[in-house]
Amino acid sequence: MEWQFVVQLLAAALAGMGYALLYNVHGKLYIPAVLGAMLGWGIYVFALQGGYSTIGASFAASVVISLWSEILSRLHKAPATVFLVIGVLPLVPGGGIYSTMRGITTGDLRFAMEKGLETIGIALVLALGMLIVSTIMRLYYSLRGKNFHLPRRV
Amino acid sequence: MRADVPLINFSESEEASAMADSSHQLLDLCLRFGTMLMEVGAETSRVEDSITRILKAYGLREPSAFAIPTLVLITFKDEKGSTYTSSRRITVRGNNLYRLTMLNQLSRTLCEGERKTTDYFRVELEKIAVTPNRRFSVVLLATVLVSLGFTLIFRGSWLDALASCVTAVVMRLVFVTLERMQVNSIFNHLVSAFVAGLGIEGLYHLGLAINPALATIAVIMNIVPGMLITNSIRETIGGDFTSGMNKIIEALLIAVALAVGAGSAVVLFGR
Repeated sequence: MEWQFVVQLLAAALAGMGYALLYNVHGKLYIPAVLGAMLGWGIYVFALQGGYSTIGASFAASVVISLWSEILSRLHKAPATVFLVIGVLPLVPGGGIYSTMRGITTGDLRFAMEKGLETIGIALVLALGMLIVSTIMRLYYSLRGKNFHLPRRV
Repeated sequence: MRADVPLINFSESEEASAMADSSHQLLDLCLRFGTMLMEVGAETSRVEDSITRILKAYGLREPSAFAIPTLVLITFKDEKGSTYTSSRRITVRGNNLYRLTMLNQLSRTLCEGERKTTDYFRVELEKIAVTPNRRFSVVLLATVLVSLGFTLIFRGSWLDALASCVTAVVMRLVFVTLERMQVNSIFNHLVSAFVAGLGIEGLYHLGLAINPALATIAVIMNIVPGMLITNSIRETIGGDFTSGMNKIIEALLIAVALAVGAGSAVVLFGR
């Protein structure tokens, strides 16, 4: 179990490194971005082992990655998206949407339905996690700062 | 009638025409800024917010920006109240987070500092436009890393990893070649997924003890629209309904293309 967990972390780091290169993340932002991917996937696997559902684990990981991205974006003065995109990529239901369409094209509609609902669920909770964290961070910074105007948008 | 005599003679003062000139320049620069941001994979709300902030920093009234993945539209008024509107169509779409960071930095500098000149804006934009993109060898290395990572995440064997890495490199070559030939993106995904399926199924039928379904997904993970589907939901929740819907449709079509492409390879081998 322990060994498998380490392998999963390393795998997430490899995938994160690959995606960071593909998305052209440079220099001092590279390592934090990859660490974000490891962190998110670690939380996800940990939550799954703790008995959470896929959806619940995805939500927990999404919240943690969003927090990580917001903090790092303040530290490095770079947009949070850079860390968010790389961090969340191992979690993102790309394989799920592929499997859904695979089920539809091969006529296995029960499988497609199951995978499709799971895919939508994961995508929804990932988006919700990001939304909640970014809104709370903005609220916090605008309440602390002098100018008390909240942005309309997230 | 002589061509060099204007048909209508605007009786404007020098100063007013200079102001109109700089407003036109700013409109053009902001459009370029917006299209560049959109082309490197920024969120719609970031594009719209950045443009509006920059225009405000330059002292223009009622700035408004609208962006969807295929268009940027900007409108504002100058001090005299004349309205300026223009739009630009976007055809390229990619991901370049380095350029995104640079553009974001430029927007910060323009908004924070004292009112900058349009020349500064133009020079900085030019600089960002020529920053080097990733080299092809780096893309291949990244492809190998992604396939290896996902094979391990799906708990595949080392043989699976080897097969998926080799196939992924071949698939990436096909993908990039078609991309350079400016082939339709959906078609490109279809063909690339077919190549991926063909490679894995071929290796399986050659007698390699791999798990073909697992290895195929590990290869396909290089080009799945996972980020697209998450972003589309994020933008829809955030109120950017049009671009959210655009992205959902695109993600679904790409996923269908991937499934059909990889599926045809399986059918070809008679499984």
